[in-house]
Amino acid sequence: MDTLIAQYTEPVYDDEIYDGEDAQLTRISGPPTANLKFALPPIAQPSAFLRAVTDDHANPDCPIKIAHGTTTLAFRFKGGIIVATDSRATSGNWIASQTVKKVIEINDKMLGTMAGGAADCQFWLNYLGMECRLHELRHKRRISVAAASKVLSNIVYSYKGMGLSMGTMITGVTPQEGPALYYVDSDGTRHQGDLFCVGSGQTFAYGVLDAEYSYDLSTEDALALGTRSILAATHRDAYSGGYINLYHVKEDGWVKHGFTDTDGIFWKRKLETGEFSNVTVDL
Amino acid sequence: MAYLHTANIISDFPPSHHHHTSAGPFVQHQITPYTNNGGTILGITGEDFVVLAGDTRHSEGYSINSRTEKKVHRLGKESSLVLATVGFGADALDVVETMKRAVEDYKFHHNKEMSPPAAAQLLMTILYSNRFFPKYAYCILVGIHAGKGVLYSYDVVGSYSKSGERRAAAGAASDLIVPFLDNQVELKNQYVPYAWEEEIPVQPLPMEKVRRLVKDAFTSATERHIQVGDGLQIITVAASGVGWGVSEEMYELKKD
Repeated sequence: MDTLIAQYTEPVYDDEIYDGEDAQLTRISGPPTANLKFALPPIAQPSAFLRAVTDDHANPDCPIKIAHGTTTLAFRFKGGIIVATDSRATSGNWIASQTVKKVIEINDKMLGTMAGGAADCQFWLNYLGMECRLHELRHKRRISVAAASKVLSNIVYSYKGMGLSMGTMITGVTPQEGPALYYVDSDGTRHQGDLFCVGSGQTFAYGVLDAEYSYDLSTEDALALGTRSILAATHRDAYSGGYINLYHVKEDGWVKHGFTDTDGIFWKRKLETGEFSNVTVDL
Repeated sequence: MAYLHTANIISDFPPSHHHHTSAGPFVQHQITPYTNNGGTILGITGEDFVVLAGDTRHSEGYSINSRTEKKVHRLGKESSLVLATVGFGADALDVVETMKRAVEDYKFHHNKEMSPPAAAQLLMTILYSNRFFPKYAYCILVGIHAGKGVLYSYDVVGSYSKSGERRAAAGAASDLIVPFLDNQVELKNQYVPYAWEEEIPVQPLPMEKVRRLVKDAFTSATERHIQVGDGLQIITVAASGVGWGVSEEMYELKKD
């Protein structure tokens, strides 16, 4: 058991006050995960146990349902990066929330998106924020997006097979890179690119985004395209919906462009542009 | 244990666990450390107060273990923090105990009460430290921050909204209560009569209205859910006005 714990434990720094004292005291005195100590079930294969109690595909009756279902997108263009997401969280057919904030503000220059396990994304992107701040303090300059995304992918890769679930895009603008966009997921995949959509509604978002995308889009058009792509996904993917969360990442940091109800956007779009003519109503 | 139909899942996963011998196939057993003890919790914030409630039935399958087991806990004598947990009773209580000790420890170290945003982040850290062996406990944490009632709700591995929420429900009857709350607290899909598509604006509810909603939610859930009933514990945390401080009200629910 100890070897298992040791395998997944990597002290980042020693707790000055409580180092060496009993584990119980350390657990309540300092944040238990500051040095990445995770409790594991007292069995030979913790990951199999975790899958049996949490995986709702293999086991619909599992007691612990982790929220899933998402559409997120991010793309590079001449004015920076657009990041857009829906806000729905589902467990089975139950809509657990319609107001999830799936854009995580790592710091005032970098954003991450959230797909997969909500807690996994929140925790590790928050942890990445800490690592980025430490990098600034140690090296007296801001971490590059390439390095930050690699820090994250290296962490999740070290937990491969343990059941983490996250598909995220890391974005930011740095002097050395310009606008940068990376896709990182819990398998350990890490890609640099101009355009990504992630989640159960990704194909619907790609459909709109690929058709209309150009690097030379104006900022106004780029924001509208981000919204429109998520709207398409919320319309066709039952696991996506709620509100559209829109961000623009620029050289001097990110700007939030609202958290807007899809229902209002849908009817505005339909009545003003004639799109969604498949939806018929008697008014 | 009735809730966890793990036997058939465990027996075929992973396949390498099957060992065929002359005595026939045998299967490696797995621990089943969770029980669903039922019950429901519910929290609603007002302008300068917050109400957190939970029923007091503790059940296992079709058996009722207790009619007086409280689910809502204050985290300190002088603290505005109140935590409600539901799911597996033992895990839920462990989370409460861990939080209580952490809040006390914080006071000894810093000579001040832990703020609700700090407690909210701490609770996430505690829940996520059990990411690979989750505490089967859904949590709602409330308190008073800067004169306002704040509420945070969590999934079992710790995800929460930093900006807090106006209302939350968790546990057995959450799927009965959440739609009621959407309608009565968030005023979802409610429009001004005779005005075309004009939504009724959402405003903070007065304390009496909130307490009435809580009782209505639980009396209705008691009528339709077997794991809800017996008693209702309502804790109100008020930042100011009459009834300032933390107060507890017990309300009888049907015992059948």
